[in-house]
Amino acid sequence: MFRFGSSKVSVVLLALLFLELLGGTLAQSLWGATAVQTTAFSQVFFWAQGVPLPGLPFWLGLTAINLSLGAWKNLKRTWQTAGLWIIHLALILFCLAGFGFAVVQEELLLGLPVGASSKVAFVKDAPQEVTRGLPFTLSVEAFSLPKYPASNEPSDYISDVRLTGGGIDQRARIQMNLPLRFQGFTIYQSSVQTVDGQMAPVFKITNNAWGFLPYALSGLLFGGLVLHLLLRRPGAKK
Amino acid sequence: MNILALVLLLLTAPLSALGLPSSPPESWSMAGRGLPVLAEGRVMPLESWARLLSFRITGRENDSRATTWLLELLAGFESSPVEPRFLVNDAAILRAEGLNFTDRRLYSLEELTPLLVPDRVSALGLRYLNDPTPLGQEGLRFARALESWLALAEPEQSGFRVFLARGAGLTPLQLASQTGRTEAQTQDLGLWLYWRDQSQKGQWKEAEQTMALWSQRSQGELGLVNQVQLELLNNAVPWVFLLGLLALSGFTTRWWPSPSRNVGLQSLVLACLAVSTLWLVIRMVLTGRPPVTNLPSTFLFTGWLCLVVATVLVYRESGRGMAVLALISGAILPYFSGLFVGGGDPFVPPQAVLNTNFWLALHVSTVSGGYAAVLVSALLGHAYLWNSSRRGPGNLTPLWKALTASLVWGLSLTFVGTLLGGVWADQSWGRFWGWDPKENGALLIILWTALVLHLRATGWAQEWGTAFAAALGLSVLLFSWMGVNLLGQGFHSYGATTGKATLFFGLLALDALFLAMLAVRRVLR
Repeated sequence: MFRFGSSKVSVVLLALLFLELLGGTLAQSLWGATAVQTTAFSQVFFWAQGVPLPGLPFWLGLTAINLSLGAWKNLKRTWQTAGLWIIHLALILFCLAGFGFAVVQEELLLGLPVGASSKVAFVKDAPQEVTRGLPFTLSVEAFSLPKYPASNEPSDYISDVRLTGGGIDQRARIQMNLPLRFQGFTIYQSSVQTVDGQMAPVFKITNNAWGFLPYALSGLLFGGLVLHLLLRRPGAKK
Repeated sequence: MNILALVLLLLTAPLSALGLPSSPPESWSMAGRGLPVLAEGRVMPLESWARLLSFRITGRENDSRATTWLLELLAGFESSPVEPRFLVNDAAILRAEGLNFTDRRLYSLEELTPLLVPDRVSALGLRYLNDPTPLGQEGLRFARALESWLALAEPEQSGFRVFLARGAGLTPLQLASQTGRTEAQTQDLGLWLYWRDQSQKGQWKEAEQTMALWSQRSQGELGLVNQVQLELLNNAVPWVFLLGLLALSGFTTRWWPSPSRNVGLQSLVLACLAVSTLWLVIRMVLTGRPPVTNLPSTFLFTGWLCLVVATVLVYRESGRGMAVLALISGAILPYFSGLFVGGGDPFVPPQAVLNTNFWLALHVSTVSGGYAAVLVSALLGHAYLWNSSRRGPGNLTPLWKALTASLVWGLSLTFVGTLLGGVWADQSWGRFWGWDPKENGALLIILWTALVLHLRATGWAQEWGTAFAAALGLSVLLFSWMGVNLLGQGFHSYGATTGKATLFFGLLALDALFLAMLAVRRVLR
């Protein structure tokens, strides 16, 4: 009755994903967002009160397997189902990418006051301080927080930085929503901190070779949806 | 009557004997309500600013006395030291500051005097700045309220500016002490001082005329599309909408004469759509941004989309019953907006991280479209179950088809909108997905809608069961859309939110009870 690839297993997996996500979201309000993000939402198995429980990546992996078998067994191989094939393929790859990113993705943080430089950054959410070397030196030359008129609310975060090393000497500006892309790295304006009474920008740095994947899969999924709706529109040739 | 009038006369007589001016009449406040003020990052009418400050300090929403209160303060009247005005939802905050009070909601200026020192207020804010507990959030809210109060008491530090004629932004204190003024500023200063002087003497009529003149001139300086007048109009729009709702309730209770029923319903839907469109346009002009910039505005936009659906359906013979449902959701949704107005200002400029019109327009509009479709499908699910329990399963095919179509559109639009949100997050902050509660909410809706659509394929549910699951989607949608903001994540002040969270989850419980009753009735049958 419950064979992988059947719609019944799909419903069970969707229900389990729903319940774990709902429980995790409620738990975030009790224990903070990060505590659940780094356990139930990113580990294949995690410990809750001494009990090992499957995390979201576990269910995502199973969903990918079920979707693959389901598409292979149940979807007809005709032009009419081309959209559904593309949607299923994109969903399978999304589940696998979600599983993979949850396990291997690493983000770095670097807070620098004006005038300071660094060649290393810190691993985000690491249980203890872990650093990674950068192929360039990042210096902050100026930092400003323009505010909305007659208000203390910042309208932007603006850092003027300098990147040096390896024969390169380049000045650039990093703003909220306008990151700097450099030698495969992307440097984002993340937040601010106070160092010796001075406001200092905090940057998030990523170097993800698979960063294009969500874009490609989004495009694939969107294309599949459009194709399916076109093929199934009233009056379309059957 | 006359006993009450006599008591009032006796109570006010001692004040008259002291030579104090009588309370200002309503016309005095009305003259000043439209004075343009530059505060909180934008130009707004003094009425909006007064309500915002009153909400922040006292916790009262849409305080009808707020404008008079603020104008009295600006006119130099002292605030009563014993009137309980400051909202503190947890007296533990005061006890931690050495003020031993038992729990109650409001405290007077006199009671809080030891705290009303800039250094102590700053220290209070810093203490609770990174405290995510309810106590910490309330402590931070209270510190911000005290900051607002201190800013009013010391206008030169307040940051607010009365937006004067000729575009000069000056604080009242600068006005009073300024030397080297231009001719235009001299006129403004003269008007301002005359207004204060007449108000102090209780010459309300003279003060009222002066303020009206000043307000008119200042508004004239703002140009052709006057933001202040538009905002005053915007404040009136909900009342027009409310009238539409009242008419709808009359309509659905069938007092409308049968021959003109369809024309009446069509006119009503069109009128509601017109008012709702006007509401969105005013919002866009006032903010200079797309219609959806924050959570409260998503309710206005989604309500508008529901009204568009209602307009399409109402002209189809088989769609009129469903048009009523879409009309109800379109009319009710905007009222949820008020529950989530952070800090009391519906047009608050967005945080820096959200300060991008392109992504706001693309992502939030698409996701709101998905929410509207899921909402309509959930309401259609309710209608299916209700009709089924009263008349049996016959002749529900149009309802069933509309329900399935709404679910498919809801799933598609929510999915695409969520992907667009991921692209925005990746472009701007370096991550496609971060398991943030709000992101989880969108994914919960996608998972539930996909689950409902797959139910029939398994044979585990037929039409009735699928409609039941779609109806349960209302709770999923409301939890994901609004509920995650009520889980103490700090979007709204906790004092004001606690009661609203109770109301919100109470409504969800009522809906669950309603659905459970329908299910029991079906089983018993």
